[in-house]
Amino acid sequence: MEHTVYHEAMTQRQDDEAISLARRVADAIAAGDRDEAVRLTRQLEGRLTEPTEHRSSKGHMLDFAAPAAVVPMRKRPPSTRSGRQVVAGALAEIGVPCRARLLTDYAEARFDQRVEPRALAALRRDERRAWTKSNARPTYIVPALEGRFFQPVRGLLTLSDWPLERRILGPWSERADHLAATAQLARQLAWLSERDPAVAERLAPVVAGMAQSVPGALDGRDVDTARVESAAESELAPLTERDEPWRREASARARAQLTEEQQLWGASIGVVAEGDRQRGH
Amino acid sequence: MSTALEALFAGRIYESGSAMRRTTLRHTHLADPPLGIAIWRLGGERFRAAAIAWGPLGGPFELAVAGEPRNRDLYFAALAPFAADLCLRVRRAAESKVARRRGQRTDLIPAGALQIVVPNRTTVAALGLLGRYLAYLSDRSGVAPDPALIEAGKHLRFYARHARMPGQALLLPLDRLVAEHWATLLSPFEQSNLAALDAQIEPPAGTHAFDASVAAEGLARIGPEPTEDIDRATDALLAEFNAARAGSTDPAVAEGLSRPLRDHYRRLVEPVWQLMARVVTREQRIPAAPSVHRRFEGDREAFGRHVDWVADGGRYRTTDTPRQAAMSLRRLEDALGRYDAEKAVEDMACMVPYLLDGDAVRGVVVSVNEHRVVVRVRAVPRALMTLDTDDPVVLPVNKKVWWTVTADDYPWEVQRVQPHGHGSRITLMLGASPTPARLPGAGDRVTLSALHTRPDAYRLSPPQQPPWTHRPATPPTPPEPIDSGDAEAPAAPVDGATLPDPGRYA
Amino acid sequence: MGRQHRSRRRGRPAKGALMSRRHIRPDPGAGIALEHVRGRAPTIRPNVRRLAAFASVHSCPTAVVAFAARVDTNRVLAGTAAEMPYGQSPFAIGRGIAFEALLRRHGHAELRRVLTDGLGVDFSLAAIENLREGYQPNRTGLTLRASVTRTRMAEIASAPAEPIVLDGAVLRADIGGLPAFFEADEMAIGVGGEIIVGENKSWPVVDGRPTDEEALGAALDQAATYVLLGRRTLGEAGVDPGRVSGNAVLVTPRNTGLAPVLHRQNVDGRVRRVERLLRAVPEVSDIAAAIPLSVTFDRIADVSLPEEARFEAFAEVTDTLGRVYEPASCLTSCGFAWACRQCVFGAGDPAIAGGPVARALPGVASLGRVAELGRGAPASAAEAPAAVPIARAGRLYDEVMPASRPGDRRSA
Repeated sequence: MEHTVYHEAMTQRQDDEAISLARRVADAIAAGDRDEAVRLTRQLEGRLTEPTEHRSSKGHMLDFAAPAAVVPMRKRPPSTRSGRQVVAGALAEIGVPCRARLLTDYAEARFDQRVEPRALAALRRDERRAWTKSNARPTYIVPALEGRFFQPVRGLLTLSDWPLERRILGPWSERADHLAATAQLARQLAWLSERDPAVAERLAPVVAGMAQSVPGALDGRDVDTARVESAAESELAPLTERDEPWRREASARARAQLTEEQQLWGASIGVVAEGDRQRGH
Repeated sequence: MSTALEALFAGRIYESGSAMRRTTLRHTHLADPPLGIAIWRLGGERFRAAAIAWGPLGGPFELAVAGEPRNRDLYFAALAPFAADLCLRVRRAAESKVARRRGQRTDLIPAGALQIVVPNRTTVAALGLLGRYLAYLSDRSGVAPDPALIEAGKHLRFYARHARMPGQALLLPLDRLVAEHWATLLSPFEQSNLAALDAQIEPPAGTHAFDASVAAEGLARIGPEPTEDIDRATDALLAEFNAARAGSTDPAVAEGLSRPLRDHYRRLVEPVWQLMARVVTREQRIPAAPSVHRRFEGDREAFGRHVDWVADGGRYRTTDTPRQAAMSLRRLEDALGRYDAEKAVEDMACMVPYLLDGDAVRGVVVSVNEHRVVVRVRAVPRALMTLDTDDPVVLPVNKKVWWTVTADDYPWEVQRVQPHGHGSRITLMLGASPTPARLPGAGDRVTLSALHTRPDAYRLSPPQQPPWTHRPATPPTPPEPIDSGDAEAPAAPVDGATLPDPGRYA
Repeated sequence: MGRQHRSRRRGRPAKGALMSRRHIRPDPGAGIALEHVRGRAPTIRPNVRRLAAFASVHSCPTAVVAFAARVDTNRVLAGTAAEMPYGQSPFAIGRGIAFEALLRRHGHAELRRVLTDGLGVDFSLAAIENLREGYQPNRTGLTLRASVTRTRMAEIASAPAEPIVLDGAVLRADIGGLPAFFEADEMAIGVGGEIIVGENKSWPVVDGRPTDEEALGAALDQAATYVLLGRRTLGEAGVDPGRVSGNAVLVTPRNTGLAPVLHRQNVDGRVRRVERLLRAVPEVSDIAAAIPLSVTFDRIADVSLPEEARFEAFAEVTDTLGRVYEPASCLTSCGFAWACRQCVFGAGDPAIAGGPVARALPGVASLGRVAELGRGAPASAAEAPAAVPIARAGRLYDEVMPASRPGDRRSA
């Protein structure tokens, strides 16, 4: 794996110059100075491609022109993100409707940031208020919607820029989403194991916890990410067959019936008069 | 049970303001002193004794408090002294043996047995569950649990099972002891509260038994299941304890931090302990009925067998096979029949319900004469008794009844019944040769009833088959451990006041 | 034969007044009358536990009125000595909550597993509709959930390919002319062509046997209620009610810990009992019409009044309506039991000692009189049948027992 070689090279050679360059690249990125970052990385590239005894036989070159996120760092700049940003970040990485508990556990492992439960409760309230005031943010943290009457499900959070299909819940959705999240986090964990073992070590128990309800995913104490991913995906496949059409149909209904606001924040059902019988679908 | 007698009791207790004795004698063995055990569980947790108090009744109790009983290490560390002490007492009690003759056989059975008393029947069930749990513990990461715990579990299981036997005295729930010997204004449901029972027996001067028991009910905390307010306090203390120990399962650490919880449970156990001692002392003053010894001998025999089996590494089935169940049921029924018969035959007060229901008669012997009667081929001597009863008699002809003095012998058969004065005059014939011991004298006041205590009529002897451990062909499947859940993290307590519908979780 | 009303017979409603009659719409007048009856007394929405408790005491006129008026008998006497303890340990509640959470976690993973293992049908692809989340915790939410439940239950007629499970199914019922909603823990639709009702409890099963017999009975009664209401719902939807299985499911932990196991038991007998009970619940409008205007729980619940005043109000109300006290039933089902017991004792009513004693004394008015008859007092013609055995009992007992102790007002 190409990244392994690079990682090894850095540690074994203790190349102070390269390390210093890498740090400066990071600072430049944090400061938003893209040009400087690109310049420094070209320097770094030059430094690292000098002949050494640890050069990889494959002659791999890292893709330094890639967006900043791909640059592997061992040390992150201190995060100044708010609780809201942390939650949104976690949601984005997991990619399916999530329970608050998973989000906070994930955030703590991944970003080394604690989000208090109280903060989450306030978040729901504040988010709605912010949306009502001005529609400024690119994404909002919105509740998932149950798929019959599109009422908000407060316990599950989603991002507003996700398509309705991903934010609506059908009978198979909760299980399917859990499996999808488990598979995704397993992949994430695999990637991080190379990049950032400290984070990987924190994340592994989170993944193990999620994998516990997936038959065949865990075998003993260690987390085998390939195994987890495979088990989750294979259970997920037949569920997706049922879940996706259902969500599509529900979304179509929702778009036909609901306003923009309701499609984000859910519908509230008015008082049902006494004696009302059939309602809904 | 005779409803007329129960009604009489209710009326008189209402009038007099205190409970009445049902019996003139005590029909249960009471050791001096018995071992008392009182437990408090953690709410809803049927395998977790948050506190166990034990000791010879009348003296101080020892108290085992685990702190966090849902943590296996802390729990077992706390239970260890209790288990060790219980095993020691059991073994000691079984040490000295005496010879017991039964027909041709002579067995060696323990001279005594460890008697355990608990406040109520719920505690019996709780100890049984605890025993089931402890007797078959699994290893945790290769570490075997303290063998004293396992042995203690086996003892507790035995005791709880044996407690089903009518008339037994090894594991005595005091609510039943008192209810059997005393009549109160409490309904059977209310009688499960030992404090309420006790209050009706000796109400404070000037207070009616009813009011005394109402007050006792309001105040009484007996266990094993804690009330909401008890566990609210436990919740607060346990939270502090868990925070302070910060995940440590070192018994020394726990010991240092568990003082507030120990005090909390000590305060809960004290009144129960005193109550138990008071109840037992009161009953000890009453003389024991003669058959108490016989029944306790049966208990000692079972106790001895159990101790031997445990020593041999013996195992029990968890549930009976259908055949075993049928046998057990039959033995239990027979034991109950015999127990009832012995009580009534030895204690005139216990005979009253049978007299009321027409299953017994009492009267004055008018005459006892010998006749020669042809039985099958030969003429044999038979006694005929004429009896004038106090009350009219409804016994059918040929009905067999036993004179209480010879209840373990042959019956008298009803020959004729005639009205006579306020009662009846009945003639009965003894179905055996008329030895002097079998005959009452003229002018004697006697009681005859359908109850008898012939030993061969009751299936009380142990099963003919040898015990499990001695049958090589079919080794018993050991019951499986039930402790897999011990590794789970405990559920967070939730106060009902915070919920819209706490009853949902009942 | 029916129960005998041992209260002082003042102003009791006429015998026929509480017979049930079918009404199409609840009478608004009844609503107002019941509000008056309630006063400030705390209320409780009828649920399956309340119904089961009511089943034990439904022959008591006071209990019937309290039930119809939705009065929470546990709370009316709050702050008095007659307040009965009714709450649960926070650890017990926490266990219950944790058990339910476990069943639902990760998209109902454990529920799927336990249903699969216990029913022999694969639930890993079952459509599990979560009716607990997203719906408002009020009548609107319940109505919607009931509607979804109805719709999905009716799908049994079209033989769904895979089982459907409703988590938090809601069944609507008419109790005495007023709507009530009952929440079943789970309902599996389409298992061998049947609908199976399930109830979760957090007390464990060990060696295949429940560790709490009493609680087992209560749980099965609850399940039976859901079976009955489920059948009615199907019937209303034009589907064969028999499709709701009489074999209900109990999901409890197994051994220590919370890992769930499924236990199936037939509840048809209990279903019949619940049905009889529901038929016996009088129409609210009938009750309201029959209650004298003086009857209200308001004063009893007034915490600003001294205890004696509140208790007196209780005694008056229950005297007017009628009391039927049976210790075993009342003490386990009704929050008025202690107060009632006090009244019963005050009247010297033999009911204090429990059913068999009360039943042994037809014609005898009080326990004081029983004591007299037990000493041989002459019995009237009405008392004679009961009196003869009592007198005999007294005589026999006195013969064997040592002389009475000091403190008895009369010696033997």
